Amino acid sequence: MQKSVLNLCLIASLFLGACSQQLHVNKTEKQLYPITVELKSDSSMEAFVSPYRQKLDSIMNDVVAVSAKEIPKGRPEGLLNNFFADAMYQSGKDWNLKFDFAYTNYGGLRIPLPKGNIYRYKIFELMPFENAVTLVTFKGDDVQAFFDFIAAGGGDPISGASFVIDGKKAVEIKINGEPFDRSKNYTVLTSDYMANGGDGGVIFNKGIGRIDSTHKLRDALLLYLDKKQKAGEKLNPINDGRIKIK
Amino acid sequence: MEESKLNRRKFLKTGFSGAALLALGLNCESVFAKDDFKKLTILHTNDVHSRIDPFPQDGSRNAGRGGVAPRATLINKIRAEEPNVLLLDAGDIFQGTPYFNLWGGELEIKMMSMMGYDAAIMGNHDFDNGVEGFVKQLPNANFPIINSNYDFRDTLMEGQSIPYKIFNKQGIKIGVYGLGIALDGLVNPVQYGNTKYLDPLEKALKYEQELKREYKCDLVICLSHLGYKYKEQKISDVVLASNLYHTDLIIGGHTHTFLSVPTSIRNKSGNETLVNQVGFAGINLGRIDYVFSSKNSKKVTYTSALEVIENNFKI
Repeated sequence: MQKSVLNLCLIASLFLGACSQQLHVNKTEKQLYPITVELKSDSSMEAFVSPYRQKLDSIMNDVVAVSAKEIPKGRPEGLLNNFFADAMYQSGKDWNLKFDFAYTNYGGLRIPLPKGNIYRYKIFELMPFENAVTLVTFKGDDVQAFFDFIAAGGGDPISGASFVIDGKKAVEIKINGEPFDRSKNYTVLTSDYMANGGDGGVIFNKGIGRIDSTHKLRDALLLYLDKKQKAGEKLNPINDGRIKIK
Repeated sequence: MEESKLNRRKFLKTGFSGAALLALGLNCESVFAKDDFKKLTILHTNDVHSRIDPFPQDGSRNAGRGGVAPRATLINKIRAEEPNVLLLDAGDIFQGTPYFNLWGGELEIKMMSMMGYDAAIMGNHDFDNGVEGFVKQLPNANFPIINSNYDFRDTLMEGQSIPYKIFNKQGIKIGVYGLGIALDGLVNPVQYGNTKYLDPLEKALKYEQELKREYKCDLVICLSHLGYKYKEQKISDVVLASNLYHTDLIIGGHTHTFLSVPTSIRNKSGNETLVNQVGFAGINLGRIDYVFSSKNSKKVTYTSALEVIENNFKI
């Protein structure tokens, strides 16, 4: 035992003995610090942020919905996906936009919604982007390719349509309850971000028509929630099997 | 409140002397003269996404976590304990709470300046208010924006970023370069404008070589917003690490990956490159301590050991 310690020291001395100007790493140590309520807030930071927070609270703390349950996102479909896409669809109809179904990207759902009171800031955190509602028209063949794109990704938020994922292909596509007709053109309501080919959406380059609206996607959510509030309804989305896996 | 859990893991790369040093462990400073060692503490965040306040206490998963003011407390505490601290951010500073919608990143950048960030890079969401939206906040930054693979000519960012920076902490030279992600298909073209994405691997090889060989940096760090790794063949921190020669540490972002220990990857020169990423929203602060000694690199194999201390506070 003593001998081995001596050996270690000898080795280490050799290691350190040869001198040069250059420094070399001989040990790294890694620590992960969770930032939690256990940590006291820094007072100068608090003092700095306080006036901003007050202003923000004055315009962001109203209750825009009451949720019957926690609303997480999921694949192939999810409660948050369905709420989000249904809100796009309904508000699009309320704005008298002409389209067949609604679509947005899964990655665009930024936070889940909690059960109970949903404050305005939550909708900003769910949809922080200033994306606008955009309509893109596809030829029938490209509609098939569009649903294949969703299938290959594992499922995205859609409303007004349903299909089954078979491998990386979409089958049994229905649009507003009707079987998809390859000979027809269809129009999808989406975001300008996706219409520009964002989040891998190169399929949107195949669109044969595009209309950019002035409505923000976030406002589609807020309008939908406002109507529910006025009707005294809780937000209670369900998974209705609009996207299934074969 | 439950007491913090101590979870130590040791990672040992090859090497005789490395084993010796590891065996000596944390006590090596008491065995040898203090001057033989210099310690560098790297603190890092990524994808903070405008999370100024902690997540609200509404029963959701991250309730009570994150927040700039608690992070500042922790950083100040570590600064008081350690002589050489480098505080870095790997991008996506912007977007995610109404603070950004209302003030366009003013608080985010000002508070990073107050916390003494040493450098940051741009993530894709830092383009969300356009190049001009980011540039508008730069007067609030008292730290540099490092980028090695965007060509900002003919944009408002021209001349506003640097390809690398060398820090000198008590004689330890640390070279930092920075890589941004491909913007096409991720960011609206109108937002990134004339910004051109250049091959990150090519730039990484160029700058790590310069920093290590020409400027004789003791440690080379890459700040990256490429993402941890992907299913498909695509450049990522993991792919990058295995193709580099001189980069000791890649601090990553974009994929919001929660690593409790950095990933150790054998690089092209047979040495270890660490890849780390600490989730998102300022939920965690990453810390890596390097202990340096003066030695002749030709006689002793490069070695590296890693000790992990993980605190899991439970509320």
